[in-house]
Amino acid sequence: MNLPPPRLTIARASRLLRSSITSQQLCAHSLNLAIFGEDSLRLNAYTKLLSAKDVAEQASVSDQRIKSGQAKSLLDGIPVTIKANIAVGRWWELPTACSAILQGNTEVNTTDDVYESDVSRILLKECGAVLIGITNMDEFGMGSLGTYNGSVPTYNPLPWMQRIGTLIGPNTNDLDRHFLDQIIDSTSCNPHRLKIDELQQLLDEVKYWTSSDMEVKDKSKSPLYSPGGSSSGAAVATAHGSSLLSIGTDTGGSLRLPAAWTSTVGFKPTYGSISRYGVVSYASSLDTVGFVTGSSECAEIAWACLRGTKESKQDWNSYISRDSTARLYHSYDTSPETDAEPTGTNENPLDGIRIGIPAAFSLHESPRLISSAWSRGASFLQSKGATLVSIPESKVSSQWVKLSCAAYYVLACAEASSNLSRYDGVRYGKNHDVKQDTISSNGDTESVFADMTTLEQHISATRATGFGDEVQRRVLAGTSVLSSDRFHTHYEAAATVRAKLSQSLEKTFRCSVAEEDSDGVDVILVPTALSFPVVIDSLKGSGLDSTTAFANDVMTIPMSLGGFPSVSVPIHGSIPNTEQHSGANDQVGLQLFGPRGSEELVLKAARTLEFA
Amino acid sequence: MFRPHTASSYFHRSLLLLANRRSSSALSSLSGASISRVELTYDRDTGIVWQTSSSKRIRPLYQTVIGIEIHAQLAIPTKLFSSAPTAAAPPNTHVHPFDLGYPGTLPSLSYSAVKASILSASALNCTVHKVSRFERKHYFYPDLPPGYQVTQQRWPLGSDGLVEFEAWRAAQPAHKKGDEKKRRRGDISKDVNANFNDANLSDGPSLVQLRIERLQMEQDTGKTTTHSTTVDNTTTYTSHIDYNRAGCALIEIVSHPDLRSAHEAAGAVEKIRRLLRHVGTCDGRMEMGSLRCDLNVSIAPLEDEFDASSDSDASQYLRNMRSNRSVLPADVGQRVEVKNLSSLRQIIAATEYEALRQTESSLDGVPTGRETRTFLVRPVNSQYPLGGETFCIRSKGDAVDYRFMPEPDLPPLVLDGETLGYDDTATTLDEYISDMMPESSDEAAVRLSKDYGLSDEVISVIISDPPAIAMLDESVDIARKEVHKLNHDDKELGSIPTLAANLLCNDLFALVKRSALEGIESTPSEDNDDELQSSLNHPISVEFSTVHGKRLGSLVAMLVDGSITSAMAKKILAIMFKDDLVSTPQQIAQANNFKVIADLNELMVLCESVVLEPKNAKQLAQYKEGGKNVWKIEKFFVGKIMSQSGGNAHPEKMKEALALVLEKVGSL
Repeated sequence: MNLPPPRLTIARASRLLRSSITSQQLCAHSLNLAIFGEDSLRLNAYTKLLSAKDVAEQASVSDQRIKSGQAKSLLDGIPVTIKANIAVGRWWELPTACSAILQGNTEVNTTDDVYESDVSRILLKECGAVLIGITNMDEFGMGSLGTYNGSVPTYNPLPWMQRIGTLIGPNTNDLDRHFLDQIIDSTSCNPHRLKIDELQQLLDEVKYWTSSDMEVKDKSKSPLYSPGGSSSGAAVATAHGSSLLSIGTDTGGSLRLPAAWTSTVGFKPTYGSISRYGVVSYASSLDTVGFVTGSSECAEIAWACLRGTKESKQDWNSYISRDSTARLYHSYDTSPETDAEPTGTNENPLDGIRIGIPAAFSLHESPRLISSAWSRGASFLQSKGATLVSIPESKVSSQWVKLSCAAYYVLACAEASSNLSRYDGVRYGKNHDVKQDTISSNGDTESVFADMTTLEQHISATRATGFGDEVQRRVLAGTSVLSSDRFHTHYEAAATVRAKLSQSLEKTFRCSVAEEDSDGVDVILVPTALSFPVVIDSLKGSGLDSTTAFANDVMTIPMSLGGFPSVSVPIHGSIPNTEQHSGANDQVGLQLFGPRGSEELVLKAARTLEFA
Repeated sequence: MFRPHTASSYFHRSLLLLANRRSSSALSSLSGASISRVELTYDRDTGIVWQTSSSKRIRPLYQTVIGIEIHAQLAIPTKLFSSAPTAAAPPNTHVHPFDLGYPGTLPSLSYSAVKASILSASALNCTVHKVSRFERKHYFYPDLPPGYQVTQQRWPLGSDGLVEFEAWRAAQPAHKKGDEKKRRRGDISKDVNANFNDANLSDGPSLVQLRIERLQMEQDTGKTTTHSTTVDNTTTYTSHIDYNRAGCALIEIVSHPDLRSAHEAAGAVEKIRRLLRHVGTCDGRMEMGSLRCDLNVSIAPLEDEFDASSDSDASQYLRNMRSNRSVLPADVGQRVEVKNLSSLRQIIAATEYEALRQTESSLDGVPTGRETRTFLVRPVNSQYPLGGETFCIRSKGDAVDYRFMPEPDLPPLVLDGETLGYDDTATTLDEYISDMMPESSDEAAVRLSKDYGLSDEVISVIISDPPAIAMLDESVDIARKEVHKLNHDDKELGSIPTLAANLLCNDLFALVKRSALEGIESTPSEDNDDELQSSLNHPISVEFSTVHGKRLGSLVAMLVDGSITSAMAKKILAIMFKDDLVSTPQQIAQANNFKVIADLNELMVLCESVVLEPKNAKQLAQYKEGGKNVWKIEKFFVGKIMSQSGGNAHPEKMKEALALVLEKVGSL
């Protein structure tokens, strides 16, 4: 079994920053890794990397704070990335990289009063993290493979990381030393400190597979896998190690699926818990800001920092006021049993926690490797003190779970068609010359345009040329389901499915059932995905049609519809004595989710599960 | 977050909208042929379209059926969902990124807008719903940056309201019955068969009831203006957009089709306008666009309804029509929406035009379908001197599907104690409304009579203009505080409200009216308030007075103190109104040397000097002679002394002093 090299965790980095290295060194190394990932490994994880100067400038401010013992948080001086659909003020005022249609609209504003998302302000200004770059994504967050980003797909780094892991040999016991050596000697040509001939061999191989000449290649051996989407860059940057915390968004699984496919931890907190202000909307009632980290422990730290400590929660309230839907968020008091620590010893950290295993999520499409990982994960949690509770079909129906995928696409497309109306070439979107761009190229289009006013022609041309295929498909589908003759049959039906499923899931949680009912659970364990990373082709994409690609999301959508906090954790998925293999990945993502506001409990269970 | 400079810098891209559907669609004006075939007139009071011949009514053909939609801009300092100010400003300076639909910006509902909407809904007797929701209404237009308008559709804030009003003609109590000379230009109907009208309206001004279907909160759009430049005989049209208005808070008020005539429609709009102004939620300036009206006009055939030759049958019909408004007449045609009317005059003109146009189409055998039309202000056809022609912007075939969708960025608006800002979160919506609603005019009348002891006549004048109530209250308060002498008896203090009310009703109203008249070129006859208001497009109200309650109150205090006479008070008021808009009445009195001389000794000195003046020796001699003409001499001296004092002598005290002086002098 090939293992990727160990990842630097936020806790370790934070400790090293306070003892052995500076944030400038750490962030320069991260930037080197990012550059190596982009230029040498051709990962396409980033749409923009900050200059070494901009990174150093941020890091030196963090260094001063850390040196004087005034670090803002554990994230102070830690290299992070932000997904391309989030406004980050100074470096990227309008999040133009989330779609080609916005790329005519680069607005540069150097004053302090810039358009900045709430989450980037909290992460960079209040927590003191250092921004390395902006990560790639499927256009407007629509897509599950990282192939709809308008240019070359984003690639899964795991095959390369496994190679690198093999090359640098088994982990030394002294991980601090290992990372310090890397950071101090870091260069953008060889940040992994490979031997020159090994490096050359690796780069040749990358070149071979990523070059456009595909005829001679045996596709079955291709190491070019999808990282999952739409937060592809966020997961890839974390999996490769250039980012210790990658902020992204999750609408129907956009953080959890890529995390499962890149062996990272993807966390979608409760809907509304982190303000969406400054985040380009895809489906507003589902869009949730979250992140990918290298481990569950990192996720716990990141969550605590972004949400603020208990004392500073008052301040948080004033920030969330920019997102009205965030006012609905109330953090859920962890049940008294779990608060009564330290009953859970290190041996049994999950004492008293009830973990639900819903039959409804056990679909026959699930590959054996994934089903076995699920059982193994459940047994492991049980061995750590948790009580397993099976949730019968009568409580949560598999029918609702299966329908949830259709309901999700109706609702998400409807909201997308609404949210994307603004890209009409007037304020946003390239202003196309109708005649040049569209009419002359295609005789059929001419007749379509003939009935339109000039304004309508402009808008149509802008949208037809500015949006990618997948976005156009979803906007058209959304426009259709919102039309007066389909609203009642499609949109309302989808809303009903959403309500029914959310309610049935909610009723299984301990906090919502009567006390005497002992059936209530604290968290639920299900797989993150029913499939493994697919091979993608730099020219032809995944070869999956978009409806098949939709099905990738069936395990993550129910939590999105219900707004539940959910985390995907990688565990080893290999089955002893079989040859079954998951392609790019030896690991399988398992998902834990709980009632709204139960992030702390969900992450605590995740931290245990990670060692399964 | 509001950034005037950076925001405005994004706008230097003017938009070329070029020809859109409006100009390409043919203006459907009435063809000359059809006019010559059937001569029609529209009665604006009854809403009946008559077939006429040589201006003589032959047969009633159709009845108009009208519903209204009003868009009122809420008088609040910021926009509905952003912190950008709403005050007038250079184009594109009051713009928040949200107003421009910056990707990622989110709405934050303004509490002031919620409050103003609740008050408006209550003023129209609507049920205010504890839970209402926002929805998005989609269409593409450059002045709507996000591509959708946030509005309320299925769950509005208010519904099921009722407004009672008098039709426009009868709106003025001063209207003289049988006064047929003063006709509005172009008012053909009235001249044609005045007897018929008066016979049926003689029951006096009756109240019309209009049911309000809904009241909802929504966003306004930006404002598009078209500019043309001609270079080398080529005219280029450019459209410029000002986003200052984008996102301002509106309430939309939708009525049932309960109205039957042009004058009822105008009366209804005027009443709603006054109600909103009374609760202070909309300034109601139609000419400024802060209150805009759309009409839904359709016609219903009358042929079988009544025999026009019988007056009694006709009046019976009209009575039925008025009492049974909630039932739509049989065979009513498709409704035609006329957009964006910005004065009562336009409402009347557009209704008349539509009544006639739809009748003609129907007579031609092609009834009008459901369509949306816009109003042309400038007269095109000599038949419609008020203007009022409408032209089609959308017919049923290309009706817009607005694709309504629940607004996912806003949670439902729940009007509980917490949202309404009470510390006691158990406070209910009803309690909030009774706390916040200003006094109604009926309540004010009772209070003015009880607390101030004003006469019914004065009260009726004051409550007809709600700002006058507030002004009276303020001036009484001020006067009571400023009265100097501590030894005023209760009677003198009790005279304050009456003095204030008299100055307000008699003098200030006259000044306001006169100054309003000065603004009009062709002065309508001054005693027809109806006509005056229709040209002004705003009521004659002390709201537009340059003298406010504070200065009026000080003036009253001076009167009560006796430091000025009532003649001086009138003069000071006129100066405050027109010449000196800032000084206090005390300063004006001083500057003009208005000061009552009430001191007996001072007055005696004054009297003595006049009486003993050599040129008055003859009169003094006559006085000394005595006899029946003595009072004439006294009067002569009073006049002389008053003019000597520059009008400042206290009349009563001066007579007292004169008597003493004459007694003294006479005894010499």
